[in-house]
Amino acid sequence: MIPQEIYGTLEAIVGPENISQDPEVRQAYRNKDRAFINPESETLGTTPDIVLLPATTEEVQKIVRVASRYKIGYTPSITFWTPQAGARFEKCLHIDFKRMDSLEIDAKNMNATVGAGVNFAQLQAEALKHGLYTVVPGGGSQVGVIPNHLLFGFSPLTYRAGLAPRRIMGVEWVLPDGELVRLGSFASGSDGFWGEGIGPDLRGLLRGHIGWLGSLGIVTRMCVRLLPFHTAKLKPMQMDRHTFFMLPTDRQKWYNFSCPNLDVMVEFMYEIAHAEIAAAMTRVPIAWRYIARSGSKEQFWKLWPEDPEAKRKEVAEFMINRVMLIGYASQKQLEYEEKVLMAIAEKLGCTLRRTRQMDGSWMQSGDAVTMWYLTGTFMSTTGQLDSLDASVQSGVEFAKMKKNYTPPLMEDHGDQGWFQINDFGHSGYLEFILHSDQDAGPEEGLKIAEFYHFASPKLVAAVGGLNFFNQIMSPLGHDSPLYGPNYGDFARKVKEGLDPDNVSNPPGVLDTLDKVIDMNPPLKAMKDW
Amino acid sequence: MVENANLRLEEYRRDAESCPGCRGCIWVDHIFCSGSKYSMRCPSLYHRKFDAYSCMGRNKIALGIMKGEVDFTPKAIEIIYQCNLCGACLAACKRNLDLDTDMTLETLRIRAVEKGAAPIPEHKAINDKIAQSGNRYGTDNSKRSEWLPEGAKVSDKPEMVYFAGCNSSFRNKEIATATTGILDALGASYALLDEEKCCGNPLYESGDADAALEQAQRNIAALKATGASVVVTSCAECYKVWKVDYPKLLDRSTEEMEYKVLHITQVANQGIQSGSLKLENPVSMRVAYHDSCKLTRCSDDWVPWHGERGKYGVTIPPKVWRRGIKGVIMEPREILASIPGIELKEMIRNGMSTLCCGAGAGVAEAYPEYTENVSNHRLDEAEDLGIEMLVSSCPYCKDAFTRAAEQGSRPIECVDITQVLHESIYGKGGL
Repeated sequence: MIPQEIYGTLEAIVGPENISQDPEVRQAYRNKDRAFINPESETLGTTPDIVLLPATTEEVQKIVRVASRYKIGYTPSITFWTPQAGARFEKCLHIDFKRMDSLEIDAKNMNATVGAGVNFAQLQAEALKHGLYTVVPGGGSQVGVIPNHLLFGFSPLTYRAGLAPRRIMGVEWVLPDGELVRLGSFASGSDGFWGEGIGPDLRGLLRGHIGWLGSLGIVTRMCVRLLPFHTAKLKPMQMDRHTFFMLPTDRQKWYNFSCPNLDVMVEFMYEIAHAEIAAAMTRVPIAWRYIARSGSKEQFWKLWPEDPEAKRKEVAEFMINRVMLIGYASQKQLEYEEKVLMAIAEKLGCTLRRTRQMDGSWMQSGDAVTMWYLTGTFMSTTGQLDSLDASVQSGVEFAKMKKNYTPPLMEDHGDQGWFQINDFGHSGYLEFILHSDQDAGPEEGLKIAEFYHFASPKLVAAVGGLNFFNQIMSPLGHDSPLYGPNYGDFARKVKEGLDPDNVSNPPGVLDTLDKVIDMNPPLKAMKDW
Repeated sequence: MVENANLRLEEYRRDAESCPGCRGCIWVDHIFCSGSKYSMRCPSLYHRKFDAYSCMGRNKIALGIMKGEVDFTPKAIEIIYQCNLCGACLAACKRNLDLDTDMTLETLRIRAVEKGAAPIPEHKAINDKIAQSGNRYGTDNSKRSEWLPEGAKVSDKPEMVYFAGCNSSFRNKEIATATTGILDALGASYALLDEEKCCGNPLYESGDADAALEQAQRNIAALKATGASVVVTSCAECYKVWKVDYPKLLDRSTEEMEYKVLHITQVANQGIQSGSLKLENPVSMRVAYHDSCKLTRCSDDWVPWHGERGKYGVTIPPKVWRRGIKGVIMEPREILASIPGIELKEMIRNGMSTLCCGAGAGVAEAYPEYTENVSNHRLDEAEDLGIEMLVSSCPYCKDAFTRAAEQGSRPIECVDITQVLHESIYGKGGL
């Protein structure tokens, strides 16, 4: 336990109402990594010693200084639903940013400055009031704005809006020793409109497809770029449990195209990008379609065909490119883009299907968590950022490998995963999604663990991808030759230079899989590095 | 001890274990989020901020208790009972996951009572008063119907019973009086129970399921004695108890009960829409309607489930999921929209995204500072709309808002919908 005198010091910083070491309060902040063998598998997750609710950057600085002085680890959190967001070592502080919820929109310069506790639902709702928008990530609207901008921040809308780390304009950064640094245009004491700062641009120290996951200090305030949107009304609706926006179809529409095969779908995406039209594009995994049609888990499994041959055929033929067009400036813009889109579709033999003009997933993400409801678990074994061709190919390879692990993994009959195109064709993205029974027995659990912890990262390395889910917990991650011979060394030097006592969200983003493996003898037997 | 699998904490272990920790349970549905200021719908977390005071945190405590890792310590009890059981997490979680969060919270309280850690003193005091006097205030229950106005057209052979509830019988008597006035204007055939007793809501929500079951049986027998087959309430809590908790305690479905439950807003709206209830007197006010959580999210029909989980946790036989979206939402709005002179504004958090007033589930009695904080926050939201009157459909909401408005000298009148309706039927000053 952390000594009472330190508790007293921390209490003086945030006030008695905003600190707790009650076991029952701390219990709620226990978040476990997943070993997958069974629900009770040993992992790095533990209960923090003290939970704090700071209200200002100054309070965060003071907390961090105390932690640094006494060499106590701390974990910052907002949404708190990735395993890395929880304390993983004894004697940890958990810093919860709920009270740091400031949000200011600069409509003229199209940016927002947010506190560490602001989520995407709040930012998007405020932005839309000003005819602006942000990109709500696949993780859902409850995701924190700051950490997601320091990560990859994917959504089909990144096709046009670009990746989230590139939309960071200003950063207020509390270093692991408590010193305050301002990056981007905050560096010159300005507001956030500029972004590049005075140079050299130190934003690169923090942002990236993985970033540091809180292990290089705490960003307490950030200015993020917003993008122009149409001013027509997105009308919130509810039918049974489903909530969604009805789209104003004179300004915003979805189009579902059936493509003859995978190659044509990829070509279709590239051609749309080269024509510089569309707001979003994504390939829809077939299970999502069944989720959308189901009223419950029971109904999903009733609808999901049991006949494997029929299902394989359906999956093979289900090549749907889902395209969103937005008339940002006018109805005429949408009309023009629609003409171009239809011409490309006709040329490639892609057929427009009936498409419901509603959205519950991307303008605001109300349904991200439905991924869990099929089986009770959800895993993304890879999130691959590469060229679109390479990303798609890795999905094909994953689908082949998955056959050897199905069951216990849920049978999805060869589905190649969720992929999309980014940055007007400059990159692609693939996420290979897995489901398994949360009640899987030990034998099945071990097989799932083998797939997730060992087979998947090796396949990612083999197909030449950059993996940003397993990289968090894999020796094939930052230290991999895929990143260059000394990338991991340099990253480690940065960490050691700024956080020599490793107090900022220990153990950091590196090498945690080895620790989980060491805790679980059945996994240890599989380790071949 | 109530022998009913649906009231056992272990029945919801899988639900607690399946929580992925997304925090969806605390926010207004993202599609309906209207900005940063009023985006939270969990009153408990609004008040205390630590995750333990959310459904997500209480799930972990429930799991700890089931595993023997957590005891019913005073802190655990405080966390468990600083919750309005308002169904915010129920509606939010079931948007995506079908976890029975409300039942985890309710059975956690039942377990606390079974273990002797609850009812907490403030709740025990109320429960004792109910046992001794038949009402939550410990008042002479023979005076319960003194509010009944002379000339009220009470029937000898009623089709429906108006169940006024403790609050409207002893505190906000104008609500009971207004309700019978509305029923009279409708020409309804109604009566009161012969010496009505508390519905048992404080008993059930404090976790004393045994006492609640006895109260249910007593009240149902009293209803049967009248020959009526419909219960009308003006109190959202009484409504929920008769419609949901009595069947739950008796391990039957709402549909299987011998009676039907209606809130007065449902009865009145039917009359308005059919033309039998005339609203002729204008009420010239800018008004917003506060959705009572018990009426809105907590009153989906109860359907017991006895079965097993198959592969992937599929329920066999398929469970009928209660999602907190089939409550009384449109009727009060249609009523207010029908009253001449009223300019109706929507609260930012409305319908299934409503914010509880902060009083329910024994919180007002045990943790008054919590209720004060939450009801003031709700009044801030109302004030931002520039309204003059906040209308609710539950006497406990009215109490909470009236208290907060008076303490803060806020220029908002807090009334029950029955009062507004009565004024439009009979003119001002009739109550």
